[in-house]
Amino acid sequence: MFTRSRKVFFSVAIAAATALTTSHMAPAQAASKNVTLEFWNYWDGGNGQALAGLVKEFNSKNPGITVKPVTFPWGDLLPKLQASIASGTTPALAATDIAWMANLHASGKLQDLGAALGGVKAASSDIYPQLLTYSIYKGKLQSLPASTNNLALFYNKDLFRKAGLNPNKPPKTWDEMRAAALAISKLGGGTQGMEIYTGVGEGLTWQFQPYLWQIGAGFLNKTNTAPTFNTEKGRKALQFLVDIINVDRSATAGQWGAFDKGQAGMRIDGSWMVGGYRENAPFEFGTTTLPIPTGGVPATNMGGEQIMSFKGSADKNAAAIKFIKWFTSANIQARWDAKTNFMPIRASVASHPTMLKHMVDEPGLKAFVDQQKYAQARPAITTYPAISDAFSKALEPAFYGKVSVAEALAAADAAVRKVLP
Amino acid sequence: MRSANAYKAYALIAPAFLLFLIFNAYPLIWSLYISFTSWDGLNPVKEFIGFDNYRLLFENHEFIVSIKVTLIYVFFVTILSTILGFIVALNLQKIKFSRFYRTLYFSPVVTATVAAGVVWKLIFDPFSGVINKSLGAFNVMGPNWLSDTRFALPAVIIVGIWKRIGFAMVVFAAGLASLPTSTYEAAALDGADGIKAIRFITIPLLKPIFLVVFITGIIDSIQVFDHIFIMTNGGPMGSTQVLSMLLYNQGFRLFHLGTASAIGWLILLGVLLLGTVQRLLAKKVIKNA
Repeated sequence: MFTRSRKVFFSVAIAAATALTTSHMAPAQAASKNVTLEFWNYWDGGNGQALAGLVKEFNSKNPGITVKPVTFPWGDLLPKLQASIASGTTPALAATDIAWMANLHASGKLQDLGAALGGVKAASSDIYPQLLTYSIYKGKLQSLPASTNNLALFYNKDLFRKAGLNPNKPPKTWDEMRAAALAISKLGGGTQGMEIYTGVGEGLTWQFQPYLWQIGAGFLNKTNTAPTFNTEKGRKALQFLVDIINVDRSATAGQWGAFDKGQAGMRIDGSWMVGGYRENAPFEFGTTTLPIPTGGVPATNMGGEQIMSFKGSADKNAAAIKFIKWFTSANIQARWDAKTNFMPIRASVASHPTMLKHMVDEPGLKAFVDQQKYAQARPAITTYPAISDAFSKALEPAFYGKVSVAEALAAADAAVRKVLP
Repeated sequence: MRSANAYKAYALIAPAFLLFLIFNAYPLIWSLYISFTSWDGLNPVKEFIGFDNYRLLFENHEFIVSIKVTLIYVFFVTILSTILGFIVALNLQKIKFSRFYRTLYFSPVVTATVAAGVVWKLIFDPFSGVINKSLGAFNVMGPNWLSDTRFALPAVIIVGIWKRIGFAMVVFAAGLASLPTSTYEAAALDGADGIKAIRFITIPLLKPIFLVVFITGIIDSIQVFDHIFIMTNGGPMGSTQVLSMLLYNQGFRLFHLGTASAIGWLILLGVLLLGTVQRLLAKKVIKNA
């Protein structure tokens, strides 16, 4: 029995060894012929088509390299990457949510792009510095921004008209926004003045952070070691939203989706929604920069994706670098942004003729582009997802009027300190 | 002779067993190991922290709430879908077009849960949903179903029941078809028909079937995820955060693979415990039946 199983074991081992050596030899022999790079991402729909078009162009211009985009749903990409890292089957290229970058950097599997592209400075030249917060890990440039976006105020011009508001003069301050919401909610028939995102998770946190930045409270300190939101200013920011829900009743906690149907006057959302609303919204919409409090400063939140390469064979590494350099170049980025409504990652994209023409074609983007310079990065640390989750959980009951604003922020402060490194 | 046969048997089950080892046993053991680490799913270092993940879970209010939510969900979905499935099966026994109705009742079972979740989300919409619009016709202001802590759990329970009635019905229908008609005829002579016959003959004879529907109901509903993820994402305020939602959130949103694995193992232990209790009960029930 024992000897038999041993024999089986050896024959299997030999077969495996042969397979391994041949598979190792194969790319070496074919090196100059063809390299296939899988490019994992979650860009679907129109964004996916835009990417496919650009990739096709890259492949035809670079004989010997075949980039193959593989699209996962947003929620599946990270688990897939985790599994691929654990099993050593990482793709050559990936573009992921900036929120995951800190953890991906720490995996130790990413190529050093700075080294391959002639230094961090040369590789990132005119890229907006806030975006690079997510790219540099322990002094090494391990990813580059592939796209970015930010939050602005969408409003329903039809409802503005019905409520007797000027549809071409959207609110510029918090007070104006609150007054407009109240006026629209008075229209009746379940019409909401505005929508405020109150569901637990990063959605709540990232929608609320701009209020904290605008009023000067901030989120974490500069070294990301302590929360700064549990202050008089922080309480004022939260109270502002809680009052819209519980005093004015011009928004409902937990409600999200009424704006899409034309049943809410305003909503804060990202630039990626512009194209969809232009095509599908059953109403005329407008966008404007986020309203700010009296004495406050403009601020918005920054989202987007970073592109990276996982270490592999030498020829794959080189091909992946070539693609990243091409994809992040101003010419390609301008066309990419024009097709996807993403925001420019570098100054030379913002002033690119393709981009300038696109802004004329889609006026809804102006507010976002104007705001990009005020877009702030969320803390790029591995504990951020846990911090954001703890923060949102402590704030959620305040929107339902279950706890006071002071209690909610004190609880958030304690909860965030618990998960801070 | 015996050993030769045994070898043959081993050889025959080997392929399936190998697949079981690779796709079931290995991940199971691996996740047990991960549950003793503080791994984030990406870092090359997996720091061993003993029972900390388990200890912290029981100190975590969210976890305790999640257990309660799961138990409430399992209780109502299992009991109500069993009772309703039984009633439907009884009533479809002798009516015209019973096959058509059976297909109708069974269709939710084979509907993709995610698709169903999306549709139910629209049905529960406070402003444009069918439910509140119907209530509005009677001048009743319907609740904000999915974003009210009092109504979100009942709403996802309703969908859980809707999804399961068809399965219970089919099993009961098979059970009903196997019952001997002579018993009913004899009982009818003694004056027991209608409700009495159901109460004193049908239900006692179907005890084993009830048990099967019950056990599968518990195992099924304790793992619920899809439609809750679509409809409420566990909110508002954790009121629909069943254990599998919490596991998902910990593992894939917060990078706490260790905590997520620990939750997975606690669910497994819970199911095993319930399974054992049920086995003991089953023995008793079947002996008496």
